[in-house]
Amino acid sequence: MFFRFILRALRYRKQRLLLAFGALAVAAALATVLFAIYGSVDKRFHEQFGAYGANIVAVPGSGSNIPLGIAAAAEKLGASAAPFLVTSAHLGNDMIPVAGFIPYKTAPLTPYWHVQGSRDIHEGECLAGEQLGLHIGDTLGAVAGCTVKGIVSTGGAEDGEILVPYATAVSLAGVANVASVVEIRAPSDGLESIRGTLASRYPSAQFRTVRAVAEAEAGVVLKIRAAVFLITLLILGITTLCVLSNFSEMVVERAKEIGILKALGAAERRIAGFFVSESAVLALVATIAGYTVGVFAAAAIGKEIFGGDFRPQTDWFVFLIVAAVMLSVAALATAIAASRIWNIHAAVILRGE
Amino acid sequence: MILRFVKDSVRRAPRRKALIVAAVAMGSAVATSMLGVMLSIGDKVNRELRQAGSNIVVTPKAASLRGGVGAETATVTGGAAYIREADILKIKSIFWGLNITGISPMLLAHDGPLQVAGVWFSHTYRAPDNSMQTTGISEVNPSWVVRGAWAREEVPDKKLPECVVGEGMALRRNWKIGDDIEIFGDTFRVTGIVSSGDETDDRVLLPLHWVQDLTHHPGVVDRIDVSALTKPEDDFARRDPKTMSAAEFERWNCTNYVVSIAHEIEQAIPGTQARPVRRIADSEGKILDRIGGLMALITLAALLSAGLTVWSLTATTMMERRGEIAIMQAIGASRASVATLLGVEVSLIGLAGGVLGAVTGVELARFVGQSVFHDSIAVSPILPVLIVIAAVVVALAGASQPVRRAVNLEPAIVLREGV
Repeated sequence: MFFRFILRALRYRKQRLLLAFGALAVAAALATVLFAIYGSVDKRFHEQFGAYGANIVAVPGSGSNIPLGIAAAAEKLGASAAPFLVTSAHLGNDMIPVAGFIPYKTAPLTPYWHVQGSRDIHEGECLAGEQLGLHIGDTLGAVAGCTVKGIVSTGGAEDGEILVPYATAVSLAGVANVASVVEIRAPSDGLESIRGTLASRYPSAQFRTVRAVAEAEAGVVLKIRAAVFLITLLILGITTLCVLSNFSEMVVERAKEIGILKALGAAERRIAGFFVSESAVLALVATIAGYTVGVFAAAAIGKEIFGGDFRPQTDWFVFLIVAAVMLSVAALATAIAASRIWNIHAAVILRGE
Repeated sequence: MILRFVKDSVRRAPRRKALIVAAVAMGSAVATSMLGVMLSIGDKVNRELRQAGSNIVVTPKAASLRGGVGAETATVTGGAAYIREADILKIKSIFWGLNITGISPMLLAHDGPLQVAGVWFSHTYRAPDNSMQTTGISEVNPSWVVRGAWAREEVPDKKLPECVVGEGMALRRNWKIGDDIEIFGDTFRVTGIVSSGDETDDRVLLPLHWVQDLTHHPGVVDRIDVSALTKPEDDFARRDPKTMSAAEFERWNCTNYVVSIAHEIEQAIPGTQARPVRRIADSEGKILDRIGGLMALITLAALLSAGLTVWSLTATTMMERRGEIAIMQAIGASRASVATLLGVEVSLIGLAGGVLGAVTGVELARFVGQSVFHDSIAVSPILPVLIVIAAVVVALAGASQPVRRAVNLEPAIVLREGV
C-alpha cells in the first residue's frame, strides 16, 4: 500500500515531482560546491600566499654569517628553507656580489623571480641579474668560469648579482657550512612556534618574521573566508525558499486525493506520513544526484580558479551535512504543507469547491 | 479593467501575493548584494594587500649595484647618483597619480658600522588637486609594528630631534625608548622601536632633512618606495612596450599595470629607474586573479539560485490558477487578453519585489562590506535598475509556460475536473 502510493504518485505526477526533484538537486549541488569551497578556501589561499616566498628570514645577528644547519633544522620542523651565501667577485673593474643558492630548494620559495632562460643551474653555470647587462651564453672567468644560463629580474637585490650554485659560492668564499641568509617559509599557523624554536637553538642568528607577508596573508584569508561564509548562507537561504514553495504546492494540488483518502477513512497522521516519506525519498535521491554533480563541479572550479589537477574529492562529512540540510529542508517544507491536511474536509473537496 | 482585475486578485489572496513579492524581493536582494560585493571586492583586497609594502622601487639610474637576497642587502653600497627631493612629488602627478597610495623616499648613510636612513615619517604635501595629503614610511608599510611612536619630523625648540630604531639594532645596542643616542655627532631621542622583518630592523631612522644636513647631501634621496593600486598582469601587460603599435601602447599605458605605472614614473622623473618589486607585484596579481574568479563563480551561483526561486514560484502560482483562467475563457475572454491580464499582474509583482529587493540588496552589500572589510561598499546606481528589470523578466519567464499551457486547455474539461 505504502509503496504503491509512492509509485503511483511518481507515475501520475511526473512533471510536478520532476520540478521538486530538480529544485532539491540544484540546491544539493550548490550546497556541495559551496561547502567544498568554504572548506578549502583557507588552504587554497594559503597556498597562493606561498607566492610571496619566505615569511621568516634568518640573518646574522653578529658576524657575517650563520650556520648552514638552520636550513636543515627548519625543514625538520615542517617548513621549507633555502640558504644563500653571498660573497663577491671581480667583473671587469667592478666588485660585484655573487650569491650562492641551491636551485631546487630556492625555486618553491621564489616563484616571483622572472628568469629568461633556465633557472635550474648546475656546477659551472650561473644566472645574471638584469642590471649587469650580461647575456645568456657569456662566460665569466672571475666567477669560477661559469656560463650565464639565465637573466634574472626580481626588483630586489638579485637584479645586480651573479647567482651561482651554492657549492661554487663556497669555494669562492673559502668558507664551508655557513650561509649569509636563510629564507624560510613556515606554515602560517606554525609561524611563531617555528621561529621561536629556531631562535632558541641558534642564538647567533637573528630570525625575522616578514611582517608584511604574514599580516597581509592573515588579513586576506580571514576576510575571504568570512565573505564566502556570508554568501554561502545567503545562497542556501534562497534555495531553501525555492524548495519550500515547491513542496507546499504539492499538498495543495492533491487536495482532492487527500479528500478521497479521508473519505475512505485514512487517519490524517497516516496521510501526512505518506507525504513526509515521499519527500524524504525525493530529498535523499536528489541529495545523491546533487552531491555527485557538485563534487565534479567543485573539482572543475578548483582547477579553473586555483590551477592544479582535476581531483574530484568525496568527503563523507560534506555529504552528511548536505544530506542533513536537504532532508531537514524537505521535512520542514512538507510538515508546513501537511498541516493543511487537517483542514481539508472530504465532503467539501469532493463536492468540487 | 486591467487594474481592477489585479486589485481583485490581490484582494482575494493577499497573503499569497505578499509571499511571492517577498520571494522575488529576496532573490533580487541576493543578486544585487552579490553583484555589488563582487564588483568591489577586487579593490578592497587590493588595498588589503598593499599592507605587504611598496610594489615599485625607484632608484637613480647611475646608482651602484647592491648585493643581497630579495629585500636583504648583504653588502654595502656607496651610491654616486641621487634623486632630487623636489622631484619626488612628480610621482603624484602622473596619469595614475590617484592610484599611488603611498610614497616613501629614503637617503641611506653610514655612521661607522651604523646604518642610518633618512625618511619621511609623516610628510604633508600639496597634492595636484590642491588638497593637503600625508604620506611617508608608515603609510607605505602599514604592517610594521612600532613600540612607542614614530618620530616627529619637526620638534619644538630646545627639544632633542627624534628618531626611531630598528628592533635588531635596539637589542644589540641595548637602546630603549626615551634614550638619547648620538649619530654623526648629534644627539637624538629614541621615540620608538620598529619591527619590520626586513633590513630596517638593523637601521636607525631619522627625519630625511637631518640625514641630508648631517651628510652634506642637501635636497636629495637615493631611493623611493612607491605603493600603487594596480591591475593584475596578464599576457598583454608582459609584452615589451617597444614592440607595440601606437594603439596598443596607448592601451598599455592607460591600464594600471604595475609595469606601466613604473614606466610612467621613469618618464616623470628623468634619470631614474622604476622597477616593480616582483615578489610583491606578482604575488598580489596572482591572488587578486584568484579572488576575482572565486567571487565571479559564487555570484553566478547566487544569481542562478535567485533566478530559479523567482521562476519556480511564479510557475507554481500560475499552475494553480488554471481554474480561474478556464472561467475567464468560458465567459469569452480571448487568449491574448488572458495572457495580458496575467502578464500585467506578474510584472507588477516582479516590479514590487524587484524594487524592494534592490533597496534591501544595496543595504545588504553595505552590511557585507562593513562586517568583512570594515569599509562600506558603494553600489553603482545602475545596478539596482538592472536588477529590477531582471526580476520582472524572470518572473514573466516563469509564468509564461504554465499560462500558455492553461490557455490551450479546453475550459470545459478544466472546469469539470475542478483542477
